[in-house]
Amino acid sequence: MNDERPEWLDKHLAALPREINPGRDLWPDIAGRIRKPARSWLPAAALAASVILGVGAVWMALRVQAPAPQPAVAVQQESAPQESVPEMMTASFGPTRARYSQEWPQVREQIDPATAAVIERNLEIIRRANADLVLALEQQPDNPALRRLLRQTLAKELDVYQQAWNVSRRMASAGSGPGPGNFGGSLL
Amino acid sequence: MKKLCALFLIALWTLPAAARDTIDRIIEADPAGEISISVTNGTVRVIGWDEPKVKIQGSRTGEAGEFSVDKSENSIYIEDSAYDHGGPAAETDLTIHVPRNSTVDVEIISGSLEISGIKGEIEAAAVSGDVNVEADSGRISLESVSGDVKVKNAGALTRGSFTSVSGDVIIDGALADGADVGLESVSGNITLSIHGEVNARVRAETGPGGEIKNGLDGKQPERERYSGSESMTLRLGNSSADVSASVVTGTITLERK
Repeated sequence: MNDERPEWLDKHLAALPREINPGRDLWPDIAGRIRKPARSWLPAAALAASVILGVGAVWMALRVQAPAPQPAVAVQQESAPQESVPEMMTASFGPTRARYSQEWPQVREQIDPATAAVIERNLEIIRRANADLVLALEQQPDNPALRRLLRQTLAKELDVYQQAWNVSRRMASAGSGPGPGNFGGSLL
Repeated sequence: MKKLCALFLIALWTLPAAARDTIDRIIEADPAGEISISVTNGTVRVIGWDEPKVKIQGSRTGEAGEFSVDKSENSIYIEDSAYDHGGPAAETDLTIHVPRNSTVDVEIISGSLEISGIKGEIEAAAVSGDVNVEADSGRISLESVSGDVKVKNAGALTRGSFTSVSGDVIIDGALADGADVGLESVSGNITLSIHGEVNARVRAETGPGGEIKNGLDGKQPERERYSGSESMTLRLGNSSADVSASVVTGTITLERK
């Protein structure tokens, strides 16, 4: 690229005046703009900041003056009780367990009394195991092995109901009884 | 009168035999197919053999219900639904020979289950009753609610799951590198006897009242101060396998054979 200016352009530049005055006095406009507030949200922000500072100061003062924070925590717990780990885990199986349990008498009718007694005895064993696990988890809510065992025994209860239903279905299909409609419904 | 008495005695002697059906069936099977067995009450023995056939022998009480054998592609389904409404519980006694490399899946409500000579995958669930397995399999999954679960495995386990709610879990066998094995019982005991080299991360945990006996490397378990529960993690060899054992009130025994 060639950086040299042509001779005719140098002549025109040399002929131009060094200063040009504006056609009118611009200062009044500039002064007016300086006096106006720059942004309309500034007072609102200042107000909000002062409110936050005020509330913060009061909260800090109360916190420093409070003799013991425990009562406030206790009140909060009473008003909104938190579920324990076993309660939460048991609750997650709740609707399915309730449904199986509710439909069990109908299924029981379809299987022989001795097998039904075995099922009920083992459901009781599972429920006792669940109760033991809940007690253990109350002592050690963070124990992952106990949590896993509880989850599995809760699932095992549903498995046993399911096995009982399988037996009743086989008996119904073999023509020895009307058979249950749909044990557990769409949850199966 | 003598004749009448003789007839009565003969009738009494023949009655139980008449009430018991005999089963003797043999069908062609895929050498590595799937065998699914569902029995309500009784004893079931599943034995692996080298024939590409399934042979079912045994007996069942009662004439009601149905004993069925169905075949679909490479799967065979054996189901027993014997039950006479209002009558006594039907009971089945079955010995089933299946191709050694079959995948075996057995479900029984009440009774005992024995599986032996299988090299394929084994899955079995019992509600009440023991599950005993002697196999040469890499993948075994056994469950019981109130019965014991016992395994003596000649092969190295790659994937194993052994659970009982109130029964014991007793596993005897080798672990493959990278194996994933879980043993669990709520109120029963767990005994794991590992054969050969052990390359595993072993995690054992109990609830309050539980106990761990470590015969793998002698390390003592940690005892939680207030609850009394015990736990330990061992890293043995290259730690590539993952073994976890959990009980609540029982004892976990880890040993090397």
